[in-house]
Amino acid sequence: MIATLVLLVVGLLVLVLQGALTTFLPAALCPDFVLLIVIGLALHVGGARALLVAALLGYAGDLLSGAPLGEHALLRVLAFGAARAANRSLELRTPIAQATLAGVLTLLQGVVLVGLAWLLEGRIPVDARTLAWLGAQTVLNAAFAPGVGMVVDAIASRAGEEEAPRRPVALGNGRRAP
Amino acid sequence: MRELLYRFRVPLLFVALVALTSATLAADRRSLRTLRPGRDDLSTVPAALLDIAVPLQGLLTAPVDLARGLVRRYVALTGLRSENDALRTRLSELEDENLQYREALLESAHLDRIAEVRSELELPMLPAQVASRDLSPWYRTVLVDRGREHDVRSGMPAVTEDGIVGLVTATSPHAARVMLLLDRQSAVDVMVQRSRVRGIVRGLGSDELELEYTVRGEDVQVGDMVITSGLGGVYPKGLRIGEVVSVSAAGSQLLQRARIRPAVDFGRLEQLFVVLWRSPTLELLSGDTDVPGPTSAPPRP
Repeated sequence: MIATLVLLVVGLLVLVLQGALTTFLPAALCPDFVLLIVIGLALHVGGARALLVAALLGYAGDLLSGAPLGEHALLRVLAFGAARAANRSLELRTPIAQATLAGVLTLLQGVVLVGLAWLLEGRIPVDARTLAWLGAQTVLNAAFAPGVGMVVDAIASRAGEEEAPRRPVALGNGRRAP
Repeated sequence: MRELLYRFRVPLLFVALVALTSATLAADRRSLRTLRPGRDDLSTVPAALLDIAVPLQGLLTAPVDLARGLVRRYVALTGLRSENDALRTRLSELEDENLQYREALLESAHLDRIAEVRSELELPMLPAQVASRDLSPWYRTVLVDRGREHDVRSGMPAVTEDGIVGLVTATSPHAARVMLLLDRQSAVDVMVQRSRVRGIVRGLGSDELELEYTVRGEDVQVGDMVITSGLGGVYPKGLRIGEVVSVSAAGSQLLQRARIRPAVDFGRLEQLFVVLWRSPTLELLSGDTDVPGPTSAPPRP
C-alpha cells in the first residue's frame, strides 16, 4: 500500500516535471516518463493497486493537458494491460527487453491516439511533424525505460510491494522421497 | 463467487477501467461546440491538482532559467579571455551596461507594443506566465498561472502584443488552461484585413493555420494580414491572426484554402495576456454577470 502511494506521488511529480520540461525543450525531446512509470508498474509491481495508480496518473495527465478527459487514462490502462500481457509470455526483466517494450508501446499509443481522433473527430491527424515526434518519442522512451524501470522496482522493493513471486515449480522426477 | 471475483480482480478491474475511461472520453469530446462558459471551471480535485502543478512547474523552471542566464553570460564573456585583465574587466563592465541598455530598449519597445494593443482593444488585460505545454503533438494547449481568483473565466481570449494566442478553456482558482490557435479544435471567424473577405481559420496541429470557407476567386493574396471578424462570438474584432503564405483551390472546388503563418511565435511563448472580456454570446450562455463584459468593462488601467 505504501509503495503504491509513493509511486502515485512520484508519478504525479514526474507529470509536473514533464510539463515544466516542455517550456524549455521541444516536446519531441521530452520522454514520456509517465508511460515509462506505468510500464514499470506493470512489470515490477503488478496487481489491482498498480493498475489503479496507472489510471489515476492518466487522469491527472488529462487534467494537465488539452486532451479530452479519459484519453490519457485509457492509454495508461491499455499500456499497463499490454505490458502485463507481454510480461506473462516473455522475459522482460532485461534492459533491452524493457527498452523494446517501451518503444513498441509508444508506437501503439500513437496508433491508438490516431484511432481515437478518427473515431471522435472523424479525421486522421497524421503529418510529417507527428511522425517525427513519434519516432523521437519511441527512441527516447526506449532509452529511458530500463532506468525508470529500475527506479520503480527499487521503490516497490523497498516498501515490500512487489507482487507475490510465482509459485516455485518442483523439479523432481515425480517419485516420492523414501 | 467471492473467491472467483478475487481471483480475477485485476482483469475485471482492467475491463471496468477501460469501460469507464472510454465512457468519460466519449462524454468529454473536447470541441468549441461544447464550450460551456462558466461551467468549464474545474471541480475541486482537478482544480487543486492544477493549482499545485502550475506553481510547482514555475519553481522547477526557475533554476533552469537561472542556469541558462549564467551560460549565456559565460558564453558572452569567453571571447575576451585573451585581453589583458584591466581591459577585460572594463570591457565586461561596458558589455554588461550595454546589454542592460539594449534590454531596456527592447523592454521599452515591448511595452510600447503592449500599450498599443491595449489602446486598440480598450479592454482590461491580465498578464500571465506560461507554466507548461502539452507533450503530445495532437493537442496544443498551455497552462498559465492565472485563474478564477484573478477573474479569468473559460471563453476569454488570450493574446500577446503580436496577436491572438488562443482561448481559455478551463480554470481553477489559480491556474487556467489555454487552447492555442494551432490546436485542431480551434476555429476562429476571421477576415482578410485588406479585402474584408471572411472565412474560418482552423488550427492544423502543426505550426501553421488554415483559412477555410472563402469562395474560390475571392480576393485573398499572399502577404495579406488576417484578423478576427468579431462575428464568431468568441474573440473581439480586429485582433491579428497571421499572414497568408499560400492560397490554393484544387481542381473544380468551389472553395479555396489559404495557409496562414501565425502572428504569434508559439515556440517562444512565455508570457501572454488574458483579455478579461467575454463576448455577449458567451455572457448570455453563462449567465455569469460578475465577469467584465463589453458593457461592464472597467476603464483601461
